[in-house]
Amino acid sequence: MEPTRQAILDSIASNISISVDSHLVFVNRAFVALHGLDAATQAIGARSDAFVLGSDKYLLKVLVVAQQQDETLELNQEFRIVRPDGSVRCVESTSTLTTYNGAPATLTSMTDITVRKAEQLELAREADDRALRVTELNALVKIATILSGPGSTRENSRQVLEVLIEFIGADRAVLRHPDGHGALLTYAAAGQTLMQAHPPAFSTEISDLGVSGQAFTLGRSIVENNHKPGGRTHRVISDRGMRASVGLPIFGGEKTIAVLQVGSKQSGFFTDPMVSLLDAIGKSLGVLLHNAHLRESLEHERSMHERKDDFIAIASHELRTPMTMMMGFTELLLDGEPDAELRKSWYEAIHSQTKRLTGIIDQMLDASNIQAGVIAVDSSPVSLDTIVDRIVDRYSAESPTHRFVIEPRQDLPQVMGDSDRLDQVLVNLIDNAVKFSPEGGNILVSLEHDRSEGTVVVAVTDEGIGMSPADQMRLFEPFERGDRAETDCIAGPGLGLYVARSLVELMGGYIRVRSEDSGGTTFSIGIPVAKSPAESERVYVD
Amino acid sequence: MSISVLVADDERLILSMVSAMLQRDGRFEIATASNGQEAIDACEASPPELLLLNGMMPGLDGFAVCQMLKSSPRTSGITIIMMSALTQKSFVEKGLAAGADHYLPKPFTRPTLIGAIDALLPQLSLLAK
Repeated sequence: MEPTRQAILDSIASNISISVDSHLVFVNRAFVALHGLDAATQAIGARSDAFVLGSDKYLLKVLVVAQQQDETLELNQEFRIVRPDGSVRCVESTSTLTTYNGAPATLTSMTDITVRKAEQLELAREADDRALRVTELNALVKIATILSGPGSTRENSRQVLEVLIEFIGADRAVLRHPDGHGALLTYAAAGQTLMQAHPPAFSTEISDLGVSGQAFTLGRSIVENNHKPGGRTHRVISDRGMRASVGLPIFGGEKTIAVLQVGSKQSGFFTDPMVSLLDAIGKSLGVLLHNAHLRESLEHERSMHERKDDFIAIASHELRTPMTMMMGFTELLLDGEPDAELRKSWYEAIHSQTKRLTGIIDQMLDASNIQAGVIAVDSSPVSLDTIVDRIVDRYSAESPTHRFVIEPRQDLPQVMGDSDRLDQVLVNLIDNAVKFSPEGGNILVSLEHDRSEGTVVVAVTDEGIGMSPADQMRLFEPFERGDRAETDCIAGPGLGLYVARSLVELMGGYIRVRSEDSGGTTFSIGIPVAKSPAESERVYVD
Repeated sequence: MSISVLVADDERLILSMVSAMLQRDGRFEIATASNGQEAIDACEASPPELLLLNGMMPGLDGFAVCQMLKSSPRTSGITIIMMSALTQKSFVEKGLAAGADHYLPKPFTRPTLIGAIDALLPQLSLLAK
């Protein structure tokens, strides 16, 4: 090439190259600079696509083929070139056919568009980001709709998990909550889960749960984008097939109240924006669960208040009844001068009502201790027949108005229980029988060994007016008003039967009631038989 | 002139106590009933001028008895004082709604009982005429 032409081509800013038969025969100074070369000689003789990025070479081939078909064609193409130091630049090239030293040649001019490209890429990424944010918003709006919906907390949670999976394209999501004993229970799940194979309350130790366990313990999100087969998480059956997992703690107030685990079968699935979307969803779930929790404790408190009101009404009634007589008879004694017989009976009445009041206070203390779970019963061999005989003897003397009928009984085994407490329970039953039987009525007391149940059963039957099934149902409840449809009034079993039931149940026994509408009520208690050494041995030999 | 009164309570000792209080006053002719059904039967057989009626009783309770007596023409003229250890406002309201002329909370003294009856005397003597 003549020097003047060379000088002109070197002086212009565009990259100019000429190739003959697909090999470079001329490059200008700008070309050398763009390609990061030291001198033009490094390019001359090389293939015309020598500096093009491997995966972009086909673009040039297409160009060449097109130009061979139509010689007037001027083609623009964008591709990437690689410099000797490995850096990549984007260029836009225009090729036209020319001649070089008489031979057909290709003149290519290139412009460096790296900066423009980067800006375009940035714009495209921003557009993607915007699209993702719209997706996020859609997901959050849909979740907000579910959260304010009428369903149960568990069902709403499950629907949230479904939306979550759909929006991010994951394969499964599980929400777990702690059971308070070092394990996490599955609360809700969506996607490919083993929920059908397992009961809903499938529980796993916190330490066995991989990302869930870590997220719960550490209180921050844990991402494991590449589960290795046979790795830690794969020991957990419910994670089978998942190659990437995220565990997110769910906060309710200040506490971690649950953990959300999302899984994908695709390694490297979870990106940062995705984790922040999950985080936002996790916060919504936290609000849902926390509100449900608050609502539950509020309802619990309200029902406790109602029970307390009932308790106060019953307690007040129970205390006022003996006090009425204590006050009334004292006043009669103080104000007048009754004859000796009347005076004696009034003193006796005051005495009996004082005892009754003491008993009621004891019962209230027992009931309160039972409610607080701090009552203890002894467990030693006891002869129920001895206790029954002692009480019946006492009552026969105190209540000559009633006749006690003791059914004949065979030899009875001892039971395992608390002798004082059994005395208390039986006194309560016999006291009720006396109270509810008409004067001159029979009170039937029977004892028998129920071999099939392994209990000794004491039954006390009165000849009272009987009880409706509804009354029988609420008899053993402490402060329940029960069904008030008929009389709209507290029925007055007091606390005695509640205490009695609690005590026999603490001894492993039961209390039952059977009543005929025509009249007569039978209360029975069954207490487990104590195993004598001889008996145990016999069972062993058998 | 004595006033006929029926005392209805499931507690035997309350019956003797109230009877003794009334006897000491001297103006009353006293009968007793030991449950709700007995009270109804006695009132229907021979309506007393005054019924002293306990609230909580097994079977037919005082509130039900009160309502039944007040809604039957034969017994609606009986003056009823409910005496009950159920002292909450809601029970007082319930007793009055059932038609009781007075609600007397337990425990009560003899002067309170007699005072309540005296307050209702114009009504009682009206019936006696």
